[in-house]
Amino acid sequence: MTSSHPNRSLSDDDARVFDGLAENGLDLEAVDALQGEDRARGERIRDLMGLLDSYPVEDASEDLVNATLARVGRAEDERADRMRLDPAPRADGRLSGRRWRFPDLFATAAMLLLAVGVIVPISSHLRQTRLVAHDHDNMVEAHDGFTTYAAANDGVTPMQSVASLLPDPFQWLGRDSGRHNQLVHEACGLHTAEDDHRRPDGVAGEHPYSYQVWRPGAWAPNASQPMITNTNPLPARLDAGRQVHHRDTLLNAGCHEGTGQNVLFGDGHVEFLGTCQIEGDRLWDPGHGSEGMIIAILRGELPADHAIFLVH
Amino acid sequence: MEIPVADRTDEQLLSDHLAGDAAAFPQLVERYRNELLHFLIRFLGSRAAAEDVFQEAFLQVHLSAESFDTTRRFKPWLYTIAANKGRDHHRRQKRRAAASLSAPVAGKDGETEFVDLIASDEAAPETPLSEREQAAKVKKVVDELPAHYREILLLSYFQKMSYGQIADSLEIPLGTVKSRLHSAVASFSESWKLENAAMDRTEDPTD
Repeated sequence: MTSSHPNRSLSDDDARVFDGLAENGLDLEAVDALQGEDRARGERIRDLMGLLDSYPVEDASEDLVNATLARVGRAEDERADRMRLDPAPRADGRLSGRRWRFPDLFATAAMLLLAVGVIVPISSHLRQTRLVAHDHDNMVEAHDGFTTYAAANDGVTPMQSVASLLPDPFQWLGRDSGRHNQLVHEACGLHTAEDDHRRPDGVAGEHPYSYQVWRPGAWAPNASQPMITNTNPLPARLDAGRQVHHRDTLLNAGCHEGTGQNVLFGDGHVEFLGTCQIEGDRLWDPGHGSEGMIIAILRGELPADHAIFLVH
Repeated sequence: MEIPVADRTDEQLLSDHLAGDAAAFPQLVERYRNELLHFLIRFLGSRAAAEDVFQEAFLQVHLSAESFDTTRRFKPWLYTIAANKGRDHHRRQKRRAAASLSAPVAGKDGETEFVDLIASDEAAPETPLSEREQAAKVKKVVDELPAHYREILLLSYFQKMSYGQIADSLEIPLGTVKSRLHSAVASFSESWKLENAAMDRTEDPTD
């Protein structure tokens, strides 16, 4: 900050005398009680400060007092108006006056709450319906890709091709499930980075779906066998350090707010299922899990033949 | 027996005002009408500005009356409010001025010049001033002091506030009150001396 006044202060002697006169309220009459040089300093201070009396001032007019009281009165009226409850609504039911009153506030708040209570669920429902339809279309498109791939590869699906590249997909599955999906994507000509838009919840950088895993040559797709679903929720739980129990295999995929998941079946049709059980089998269950058992989903255990097991 | 409003303390009047006594607040305004207006005229350098801030200050007193700590004195609180409103006014003025004026010349950065009042005793002009001339010169010198110097000088000299009361009013530490007041007195003294010297040179161009 700049200033046209250089830093100035009183000399030590002046400061001492000044403090003595002013510390408890400036008393210039006390100068007369000072002695010697202090007296001279005190008189100088008295003369200097006395100059301030020459500053021209005028007394306050009655108008100023009246204007001040009127201003305070207006402020008080406004405050009273704001605070006043209107006990007598007009007969025609309209709000009386233009100012906001508590009933107006309550009515508006209630309308807002009602609007939020209706609009938010409707909006959420519409969004979910749109997402379900969106990944339904994606799955149909993926099935077309599988079919095209199979036609060019002696009837072998991308997942079967991937499985054939490895000695046993279930041996490496848990340790590198992402690699499996990557291979499937590559086999289908899809690439994760380019296909993030396929993920219904729009989270970039993650694989959009979970895929069925087969032993090489052990599959003949049919109308009741899932090929793709929305993302299996269990690996994420394991990644977060949480144990997974058998009962957790009843959890739906997370991307549709836990209400269910889209499933692409072997014959190309897609259904939105509100449960992850199909004819008693669970989508995420790799074996013969029993109640209370910790699922060894990513521990490389072999699933039973024909088990439904989708992995992300 | 009810005490007449004129005999009640400031604090009692504020309390009565809160209790709905219609005569209490006008009495407070009446009691401080000249004292506060004079402080504001000297602080702001303009009667019009002072009158505006005077009204704002009492309006604020009314609006904040319920928060007033009745164990404290009313007068320092009133001056705290008035000084705050005055500073707001200065800030508004500065913002307006900043749009059209260049920045003021910088002082001697970081260096403190100690003023000895005895050594500066040539402050009186060689030619005695008329009352009107002196008033104009004092106004010029005071108006040119930085606002925070002007403010603390006025509270000390006219309101006879102790250092503790000034600290309360301006909401600054006691040590700052001392150092600021010393700086204000020193600046006032030097400015007065320079003003007199300038006037003497004007009157005697051969000098």
